[in-house]
Amino acid sequence: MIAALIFVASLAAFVQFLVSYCHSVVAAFGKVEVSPRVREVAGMGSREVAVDDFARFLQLLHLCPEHDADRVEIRAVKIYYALLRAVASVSHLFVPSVGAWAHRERVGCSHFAAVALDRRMEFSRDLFARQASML
Amino acid sequence: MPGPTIYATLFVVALVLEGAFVVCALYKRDFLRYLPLNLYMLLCVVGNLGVYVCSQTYGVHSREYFYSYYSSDILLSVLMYFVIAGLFSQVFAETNFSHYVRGAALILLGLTVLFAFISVRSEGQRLSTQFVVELEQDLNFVGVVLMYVLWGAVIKLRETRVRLVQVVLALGVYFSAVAGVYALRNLFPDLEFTALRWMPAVIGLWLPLAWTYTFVRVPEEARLASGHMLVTS
Repeated sequence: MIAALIFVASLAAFVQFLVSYCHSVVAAFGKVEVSPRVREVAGMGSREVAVDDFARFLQLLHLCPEHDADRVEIRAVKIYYALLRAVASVSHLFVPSVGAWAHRERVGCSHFAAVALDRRMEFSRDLFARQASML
Repeated sequence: MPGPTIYATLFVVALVLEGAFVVCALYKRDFLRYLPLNLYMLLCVVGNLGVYVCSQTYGVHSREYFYSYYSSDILLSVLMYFVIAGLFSQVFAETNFSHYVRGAALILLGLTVLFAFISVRSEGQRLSTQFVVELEQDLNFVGVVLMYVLWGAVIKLRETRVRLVQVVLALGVYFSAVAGVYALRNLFPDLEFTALRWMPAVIGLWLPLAWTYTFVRVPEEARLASGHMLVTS
């Protein structure tokens, strides 16, 4: 009986800690502004980053040369985004507040992808500049 | 307790990750600032090496390997309370409660060590898998409760240091996952020979991985927007 209680409590704690951890990883990028260069490439204009921008930013990320430093975190945020999408689609009918929270988190993921794209573009530019100087 | 091939792989990966964390902390000059975390990781490296030597000398099905694996694991679980006490004092550093918190953490540590010691002593020579599974489950669940209290304090005190927040949350993920797995093993002892047997060792990789990520990618001065952590509370 005690083991069953510990299992249920640990499972609930695990989900909450994991979601909060992913949130803290994404939120750490929240203060970084999306650069005009990324806005131009993604065709965003002056509007704010939206939930649906995530897929477009990822496509653009794949066009840039791979960068070891951010590969793991981009993959982790992709998984987190997919989980949030599942949560949002299930909960928006039954628990709207959870749906709204998942929506906000997905916007955070899109913002994270925009910042990652900016860093990759910067990295690519440095790479090309280095190669050009070697020729 | 994992088997030979899985164990050897996990051993190498764990050693690399734990070593990487300490090297990163030294390189970023954060070793002393996060001394309990670094000492814990160094002790994990020592413990892993000791258990590995034991597995090579006596074999992974020997009684010696069983004792060395679980005794080092239980010892490291107890030592983890020093890490938690350190995190508590960091979170409460700017309040009037810091010395009370340190005192409470030391009392809790003392009680836990006493509980573990009395439990192991009462088992004597017949230290069984079932017993260590129960002890691990209890020790890790105390960790979950402590992390919940610490996480509550982080939210209440509006802690914005990204590193501290991520270290606390990574620890919460670790404790809850390990406590859950041991509780499941305790509930279903017949599952002892399945993947559940080596799950705690796999989960053990999470901590050095997450902490290394935090120390490499997040600068010490990084701050979350005020009230940001309340979103998921």
